[in-house]
Amino acid sequence: MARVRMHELAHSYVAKPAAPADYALKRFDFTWRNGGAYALLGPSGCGKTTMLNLISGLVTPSEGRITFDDVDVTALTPAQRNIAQVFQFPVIYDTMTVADNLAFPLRNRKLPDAQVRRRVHDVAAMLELEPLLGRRAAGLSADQKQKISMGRGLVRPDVAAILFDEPLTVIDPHLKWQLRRKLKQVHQEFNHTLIYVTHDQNEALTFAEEVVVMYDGYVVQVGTPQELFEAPAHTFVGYFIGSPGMNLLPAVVDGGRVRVRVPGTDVAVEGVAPPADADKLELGIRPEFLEIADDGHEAAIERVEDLGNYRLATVRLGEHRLVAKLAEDRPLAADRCHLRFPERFTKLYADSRLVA
Amino acid sequence: MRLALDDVTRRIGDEVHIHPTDLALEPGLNVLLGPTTAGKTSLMRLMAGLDRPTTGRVLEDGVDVTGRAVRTRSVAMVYQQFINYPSFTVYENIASPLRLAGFDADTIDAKVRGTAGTLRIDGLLDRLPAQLSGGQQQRCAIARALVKQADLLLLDEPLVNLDYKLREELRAELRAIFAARDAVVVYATTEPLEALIMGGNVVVLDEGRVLQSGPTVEVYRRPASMRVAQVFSDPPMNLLSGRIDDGRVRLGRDVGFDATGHLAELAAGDYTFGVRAAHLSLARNNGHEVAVPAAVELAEISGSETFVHAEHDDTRLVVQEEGVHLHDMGRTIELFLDPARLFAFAADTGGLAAAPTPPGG
Amino acid sequence: MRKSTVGLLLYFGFLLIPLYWLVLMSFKTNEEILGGITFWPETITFANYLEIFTNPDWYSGYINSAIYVGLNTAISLTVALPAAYAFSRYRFIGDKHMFFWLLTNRMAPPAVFLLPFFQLYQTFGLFDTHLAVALAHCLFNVPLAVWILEGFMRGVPREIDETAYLDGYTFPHFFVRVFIPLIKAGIGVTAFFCFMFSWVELLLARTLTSVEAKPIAATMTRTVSAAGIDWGLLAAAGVLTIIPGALVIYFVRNYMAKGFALGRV
Repeated sequence: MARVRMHELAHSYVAKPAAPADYALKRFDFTWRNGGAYALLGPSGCGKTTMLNLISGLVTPSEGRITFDDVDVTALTPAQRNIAQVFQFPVIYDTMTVADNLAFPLRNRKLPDAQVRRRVHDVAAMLELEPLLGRRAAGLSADQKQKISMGRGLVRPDVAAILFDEPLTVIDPHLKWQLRRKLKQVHQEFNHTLIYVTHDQNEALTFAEEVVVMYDGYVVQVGTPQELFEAPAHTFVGYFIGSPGMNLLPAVVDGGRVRVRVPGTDVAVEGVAPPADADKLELGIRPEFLEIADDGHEAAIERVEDLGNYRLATVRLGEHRLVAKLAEDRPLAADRCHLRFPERFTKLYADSRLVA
Repeated sequence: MRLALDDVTRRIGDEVHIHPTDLALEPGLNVLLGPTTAGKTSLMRLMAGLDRPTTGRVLEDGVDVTGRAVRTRSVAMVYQQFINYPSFTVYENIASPLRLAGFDADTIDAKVRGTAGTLRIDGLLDRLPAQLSGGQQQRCAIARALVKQADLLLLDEPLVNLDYKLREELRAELRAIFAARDAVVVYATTEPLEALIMGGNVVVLDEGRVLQSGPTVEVYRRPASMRVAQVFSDPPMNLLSGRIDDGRVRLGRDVGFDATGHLAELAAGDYTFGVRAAHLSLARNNGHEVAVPAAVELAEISGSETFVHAEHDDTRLVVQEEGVHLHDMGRTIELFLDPARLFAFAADTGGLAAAPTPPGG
Repeated sequence: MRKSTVGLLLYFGFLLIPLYWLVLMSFKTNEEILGGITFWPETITFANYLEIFTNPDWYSGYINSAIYVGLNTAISLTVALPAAYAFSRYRFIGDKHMFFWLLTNRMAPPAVFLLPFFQLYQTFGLFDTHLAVALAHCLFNVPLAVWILEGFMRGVPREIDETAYLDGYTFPHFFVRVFIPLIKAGIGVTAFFCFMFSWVELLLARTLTSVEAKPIAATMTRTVSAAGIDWGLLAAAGVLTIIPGALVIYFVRNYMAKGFALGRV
């Protein structure tokens, strides 16, 4: 296990990168805590695979250094780095028994037999694979095979970090739940550094203590699931996390205060100093936090969708369209309502970044 | 047009894909809801005429079209895979059904550009499908299905292979497009939420049988059986077996309360009680609620909601919480259950015995 | 890195030596060939090539071969395309067995079929025609073509066919307009294999012809004159025989890679 640090790291697949657009991964500094459970979340093409390959050593960064517990590993190969990786599709040896599959990485490293047996037994117990130990891996179901793949990563006592690359893609939806739970238990038990790459917010938020959100080669936010939801650091996070995503309204600075222009009833934001040099100001509020109240800014109701347990109201405030999420039993007038923007959850974004 | 399935079945060898089914579909949106392998695709293929029913008839406006070549029928279909002609440009893909129908070049051009505009791929008309993203490819396939103005439009989980944000976007667009159509639109999905968002009518399917059909929200509020309630809930409805005796409801070993409201009229006996995850809570909201002790197994977080999986009396219960919250595994908590939100199903048949009154009605 | 480069170079050298020797001989006079080993012609002569291009006995051999090879490739593809489509799209009783038996034809050496073909063609008056050789080769090429094409067709999702029917295509229209372009690569690879087999096959081609359709390979084996073997001429003929094959390989090389990737071929 190790603390993985990335110093001034950047990567480009172009030989002589000039513009920021040439970089698949823009320059950044980051430390993956020893024993942390991280998720790396972002849409396809955001640079998360590049990030993963930099950690595992499949790709050497074009700029910057990587250290594991202060040892520089920038130039080392994946094998030398002692990284375990679990891929989308289970990688196991069909002709071997489950026990041999689990023991394989240890025997390769010439560990004494007794220790191998003990480790295999521990990991099998943890993953509930014990009844299968004597069976050949061929013919097992996809989720069992994927468990064995995970087990092969977990079995090594010296592994610096375990990387998961969308490991639940091939698993049946109703079994995903069990594997997610298993993974969390495994993390509590063994305390490995785990990095879980996915484009699925559900998996990322469920698995991780901290989520690293990537967008367009930038790390746009690192935070707990709760922080991502309640205080997105970037408009992309507001859009990407949560369904439907955050409402965004263009704002202006007027007389030293930030306002959203609405004829008759401007929405003013209290308590934040507007930055002087921002090109674009936006006000963000999640549909969950936008309150429909008895007083406040008057808005027209455009549509209400009944989604069973809750309703989504699309409302018009001046020329701006917003979505509010309502409890199913919340009464609502037919055409007009009043909106309130709770201060705690109304965020200001300058050039897409959160103004603290 | 009206589409009717008259006692159709579909068997392949010994395997029954569709049990005897009668179904009448009106113009408008019809959602086929069911888990994977429920028979949604099989049923759609029968409707389209791509497969021939083993027995029974398919009727269009009362006219038997069973076994008629699909080429001569007014049907369009969108698959879950992105199916386009790889060697044609987007323009030619969309134009292809029109060319075959013998429209003149100007009409074709106008229709292709119009439909492409609706689906916002009008800037991509010269590309080949392979040069498009997944979302754009599916937009192209949908445009080709829309352009011929077919009387029967079938969509087989069209959004399932897209990222969820794209799904959200396209879903809203599709709903608007369908609303402007006069065709029988059949839209298959496995997701209850998607069915609710699309609205219209729903046909709940499971293991090759139609379980229930009707207006979507109505079916959601009054599922005819336990199975419908499970299929039409995400996460599946929580089920607890219990009894009613002397005006008291007993759930499992140690939860009991007075049978009031909709439960009061139930005869004494065994029932299975159901409650949706959203109607369990971790904090008391009113005085009628009953506390159920449970141990947290996992908190699943979906971005705007937290689903707490907990175990009570060897039964797994799921609680839906608004917002994102963290819960430690193994902790003991109390879940609050509002008796007014309970569904009751007959213990033997699984049929609905009592449903809660929907809010406001 | 360096070691593997050297190894590769050695390997290519080893492969190219016979080829080089053949080309070398074709530019030499018979005297020089028989006189001793030289690695470069002392006097470059084009007489051998001139002889082939001007003497009808020689060049008609090439023309004959080209005709029956072309004929064979065309017939094989025309027959195999619908057959492969049926195998890739429909399940019918005994389809797997039929597929297997189709391929068993290739397990027997061509010589086995020599006598029946000879007899049959004599009876039908097909002996010594281009069609005779082309048809005989079909016995081997059609199964191979069906097998290769079926692999490519299986890669095309069935839903594309269905979408086409829903759009209003008739089957022939769909097949030509939509389907064929999708398996271009497969057709290229198949044509290549048909060509190669037919072009190099000697036994059937020689036995089933005498004068009118005599293939180049047969011409080459019959050039022992009273003065002994004309080595230079033979070498030149050999070079000219290799060229069409090389050209075909050059044009389908990209398709070949795809074909290998699909697990057939």
